[in-house]
Amino acid sequence: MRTPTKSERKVIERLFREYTLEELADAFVFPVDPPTEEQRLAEEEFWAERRRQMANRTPEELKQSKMLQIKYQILNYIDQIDPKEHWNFQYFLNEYIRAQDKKDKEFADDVDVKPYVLSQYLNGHRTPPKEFLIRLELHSNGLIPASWWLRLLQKSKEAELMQDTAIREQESKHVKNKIELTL
Amino acid sequence: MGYYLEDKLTGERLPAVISRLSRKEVMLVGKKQFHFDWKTEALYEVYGLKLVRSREILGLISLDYQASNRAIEIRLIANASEHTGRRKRYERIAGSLIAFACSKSVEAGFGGFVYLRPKTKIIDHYRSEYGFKYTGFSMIIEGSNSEILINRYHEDTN
Repeated sequence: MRTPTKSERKVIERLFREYTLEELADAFVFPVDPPTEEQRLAEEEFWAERRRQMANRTPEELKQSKMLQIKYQILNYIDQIDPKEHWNFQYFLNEYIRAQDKKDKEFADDVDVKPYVLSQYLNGHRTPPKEFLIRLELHSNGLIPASWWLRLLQKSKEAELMQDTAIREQESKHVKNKIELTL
Repeated sequence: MGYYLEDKLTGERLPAVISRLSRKEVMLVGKKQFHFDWKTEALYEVYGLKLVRSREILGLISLDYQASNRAIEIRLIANASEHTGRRKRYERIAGSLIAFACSKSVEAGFGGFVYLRPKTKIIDHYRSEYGFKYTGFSMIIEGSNSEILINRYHEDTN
């Protein structure tokens, strides 16, 4: 919880004078005073009940939660222009399969690919075609669209390309008459 | 498009991104522009919303991940002063930041559970504008209500 400093209290008072309540809700979550003893006790009880509910989730609820977790991990990852960490397509495909407690062979059967082909997708030795991405979308019942899997693949390739110094050395012998720029 | 803001002058939808600020960036946030002392938030996760075409931060949010409660607390939100009230040019700044907090909560495995401690006078507005429920000491949003909010503010999730 964030409590206001003395000068922040003055700022908050000023903001409440200058703006309507609607404008304030549309622009702020404010620092607030600590709870009273009564509120603190109610709060403790509330969190105890929440922890109980979370601990008593059924395996099906846990599976659903894990699937949504992967969905938003992918979304927040592909939304970032310059992600701090590079995850790749393989990582998320592996997570997707594990979230359903399936073996690779069972999942390969679900999406009608040979187990060795799935294994190549998983270790990055083969790039999945668009048909496979569509099958992933259908398998997730639209939860994770094919376009997200495609953006993941593109992001993985981009990171790979940027980090690969060996290929630059290797390919430089095939390039001549380089443009010379004075920057 | 992901998150986007609406330009009140032209009606245009402008793509926006929300990204985490480094500790150093948080320490440099100005009190004048963002109303409060953000330095204390450097211990938490602070995210800034920008238009894709510009580097200017239009709004900030500070999040506290509470693994034991399986919840994220929104500690603080502030639009930049020039984007507050009637004078503001863009709509959807705070809403996008709250929807982003919901998506981070699902991502963390907390089921979209997000809460904030409201100023009493604006409880009704958080309820009607974002779908928060009042518990007596805080306002919470979770599960399908979190998803509804994310879908409203993030275009790719519809």
